Amino acid sequence: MADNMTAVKMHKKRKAHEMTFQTLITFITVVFVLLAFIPIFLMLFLSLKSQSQFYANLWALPIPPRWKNYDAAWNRLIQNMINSVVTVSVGTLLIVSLAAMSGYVFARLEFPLKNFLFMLMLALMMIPGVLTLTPSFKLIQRIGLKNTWWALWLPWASGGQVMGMYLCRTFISNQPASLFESARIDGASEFKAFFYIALPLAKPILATLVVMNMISLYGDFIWPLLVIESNKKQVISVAIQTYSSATGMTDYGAMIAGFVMATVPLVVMFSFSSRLYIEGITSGAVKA
Amino acid sequence: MALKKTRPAALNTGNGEPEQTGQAAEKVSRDWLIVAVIMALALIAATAVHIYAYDQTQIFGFVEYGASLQNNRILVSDELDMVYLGTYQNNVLAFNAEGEQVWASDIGAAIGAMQFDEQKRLLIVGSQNRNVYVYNALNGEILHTYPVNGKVRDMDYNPFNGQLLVAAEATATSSTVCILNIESGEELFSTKLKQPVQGAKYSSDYQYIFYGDNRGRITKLNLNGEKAADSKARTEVVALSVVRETGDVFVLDKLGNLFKFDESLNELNRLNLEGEGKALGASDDGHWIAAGTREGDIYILDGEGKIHFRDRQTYDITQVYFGEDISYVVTLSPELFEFSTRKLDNINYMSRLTTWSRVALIVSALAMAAALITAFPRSRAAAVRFFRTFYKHRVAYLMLLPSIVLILIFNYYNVFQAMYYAFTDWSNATRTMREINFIGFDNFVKIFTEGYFLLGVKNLAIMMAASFLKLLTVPLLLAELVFAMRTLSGESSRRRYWFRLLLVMPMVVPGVVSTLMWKNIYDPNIGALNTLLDTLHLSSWKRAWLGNTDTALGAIIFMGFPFVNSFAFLVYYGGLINIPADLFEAAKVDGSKPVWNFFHIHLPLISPQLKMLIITTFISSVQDYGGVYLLTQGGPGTATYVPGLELYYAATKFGQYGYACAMGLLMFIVILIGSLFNLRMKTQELN
Repeated sequence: MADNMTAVKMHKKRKAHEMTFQTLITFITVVFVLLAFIPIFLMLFLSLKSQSQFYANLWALPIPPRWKNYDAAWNRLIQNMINSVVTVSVGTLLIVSLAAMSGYVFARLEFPLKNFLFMLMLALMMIPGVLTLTPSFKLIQRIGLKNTWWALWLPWASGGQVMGMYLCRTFISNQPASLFESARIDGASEFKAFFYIALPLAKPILATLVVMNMISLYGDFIWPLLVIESNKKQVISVAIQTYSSATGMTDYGAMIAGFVMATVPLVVMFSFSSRLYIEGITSGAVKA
Repeated sequence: MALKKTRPAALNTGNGEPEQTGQAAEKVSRDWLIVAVIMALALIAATAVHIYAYDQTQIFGFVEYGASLQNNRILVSDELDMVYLGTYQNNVLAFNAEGEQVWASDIGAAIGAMQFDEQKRLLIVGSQNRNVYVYNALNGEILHTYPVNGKVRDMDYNPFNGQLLVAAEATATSSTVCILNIESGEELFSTKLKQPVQGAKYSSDYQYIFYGDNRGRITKLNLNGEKAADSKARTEVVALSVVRETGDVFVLDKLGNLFKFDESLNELNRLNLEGEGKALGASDDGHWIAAGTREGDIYILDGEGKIHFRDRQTYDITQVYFGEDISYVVTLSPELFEFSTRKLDNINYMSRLTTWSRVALIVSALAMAAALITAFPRSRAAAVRFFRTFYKHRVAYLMLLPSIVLILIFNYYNVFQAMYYAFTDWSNATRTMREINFIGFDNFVKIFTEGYFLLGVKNLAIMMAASFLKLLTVPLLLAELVFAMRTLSGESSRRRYWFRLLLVMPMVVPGVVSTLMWKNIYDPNIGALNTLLDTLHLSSWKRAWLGNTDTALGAIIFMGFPFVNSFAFLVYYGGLINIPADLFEAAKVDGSKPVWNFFHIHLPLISPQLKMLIITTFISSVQDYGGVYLLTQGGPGTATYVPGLELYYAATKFGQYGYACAMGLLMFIVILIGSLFNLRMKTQELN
């Protein structure tokens, strides 16, 4: 009886302890989330202010909200936004298809020189982009691709596929081999096995790659700054800098409205792919 | 394979390899050897054709006529086999075919234009000292001196009646165009213009004159001085040329626009050449045009405006002279270039022949190699084995092909280029690739003795330490917190899902935008940080955060607070949820504490994730300069300078390409050593 009593007490005590613990960790996490969102809230908030509201009181609500800020940003940046969406989409598509193919080959097939070719690709991860910056730029100039989107796509696809290949390889080699065996017995060709078995199963890692590459290509500004000259073809990450230094001293609201606009494409993309992305990264394939 | 060889021949009959091949394989095939010999002959022929055709496309040569002077004008007499040079240092020099100087004459001012009378063997020189001199072309004796009203800019000569057209700059805002008889000096025609004129030429029938002025107007006058037609270039006309056979007029303006007009000055064609226009020449048949720029570029175009050649020299180009056999490009230096006018006419044919002979060369070489391989039994067997293996695994190779091709062109090629150029003095002062010199380790010495590279290393070390700290604390803590969330009954909680999503969401803000947003937060006047300090009555703490030497580096490190690295968080979290549940069960039975759990279960089991994050963070932070570039450009002073930024500046605004490559190579070595060290640690741990 006494033993029972202590057991119940213990249980209750542990439950209370657990509750405090859960409340505490939730609270800490909420604090971090709020802090992480501060720049985003600040951005939305400031984007509606007029220049005088900036100087009067930064914390005061933007009343009346100055929607004209978005007009200014839209007019200046819409062309560059479209450019970014097109170039980044094509670039990502190239990277992900190349990565999926080579990842599949290295995960599932045995062939002479496999290790050599694998190392040939993998070794690129250790080569810093800055080493090849100068010769790459000269190469692009010499083959006449300067100021065209090919100057973005080809080097992006070439360098970006390596990490993707590695992740796809890890992910696909974790897929049950029996699936591929039975497909082979049923007479499926290697291409079919790739398209109808490996790819659908690799969706999470492919989504991860899409998101990772979209974000990194969308944020790349050094390379487009070098190879794209005309503003008509320039991407948003470069345009937003020129825009911010052009408006920076005279119209803060319009500048920050531009920041918000530049964020919109990634928000749209992310809302479609966040679930698969999170699934892909947490699947355990991302490791050394 | 080894098994197959030991098998008795009789057993082989079944599998599609008849015995005959087995026997034939014993000895060398004569037929294939003959094919190989034929292919070798074809190879030799193709090589010979290629060498010839390639030579015919190499039209540029380099000539130097002794004097170390700046040349300004050239004139070549095929009849007398003489070359006349007018220099910027006031000399007229005559050379014979052997390149020996025959005579020289100093006229005390730079030479503006030269013309020649083949019949009377007269050299006519227009000078900036407002005189026209008529020389005996053979011995340099001055026969006549005629004053003209200005510095001579251009001349043209009508050999049929001995009349000379002269365009001379009278003052900075006026000029004279006149026609002289060179025997008598009699002025037959003269007109004063309100603008300087750079180019003046007779029409092909000598009945009209064309001139272009510095307002970009081209005018056609008849010999009575009446205007017959006019037209416009974009800006100041720098040179004008009339094609003797067709009568077309070519005009080059200062912005590098090249125009083609017909006799009545109707514009037929135009195109833009990169650079500031300086000199223009047209062949007599109008098939070829050559233009030179102040930057030293020589363009050779056909009459339709298609550019066939572009070559860059070191100096300002002053004249392009089209001769019947040899044409010359004169630069403001002792360097004189010649190109063969005859070769030019066959150039399209020859360059096509070069391409085709190169293809034939490669094909015949391959065919010869293939025939040789087939001829000998052992190599044939090896080749068959090779192709069988290749065919068997063709899917793998085909699927890898695009990736490998891209990597070889856009990565490995550049890597080797960078490794080579790191040891050269390649810079934006280098006009042609020929001028690049091998300078050994000079660039590396420079890295360690001067420049900002070393200054940046200290900042880089601090920033890198900070990024490791950021990587190993907040994301890991958050992953542990979210992982620890469960319902009271011990089930995984819905909160996990929501917090996971919320913590990943901030990554949608593009890096450039978040950096620029932080720049705004640090703004000394309207920035959120200083405003916050005001609100908290801590105004004395206010700073120009990025503009202050003491705080700039700290401000850059603090950027992104609270350092929720979404990617790292997810990776850690993924590591944690993939730990097999029975490990925790076992630990629970043993009565373990959370802290013990963390160090003895969590950390070891997520070490692969940790390794990956550490390596990638290391690689990216060694070469990172994007944030610094956007926020402070390395300033104030050198407070936030990093090596990557020095490399970027060297490669872009300072144009020290070799030096930039050397810095890249050094960083590569650092990254390689760091990564290998990192990977090695892992293997030790696993053992």
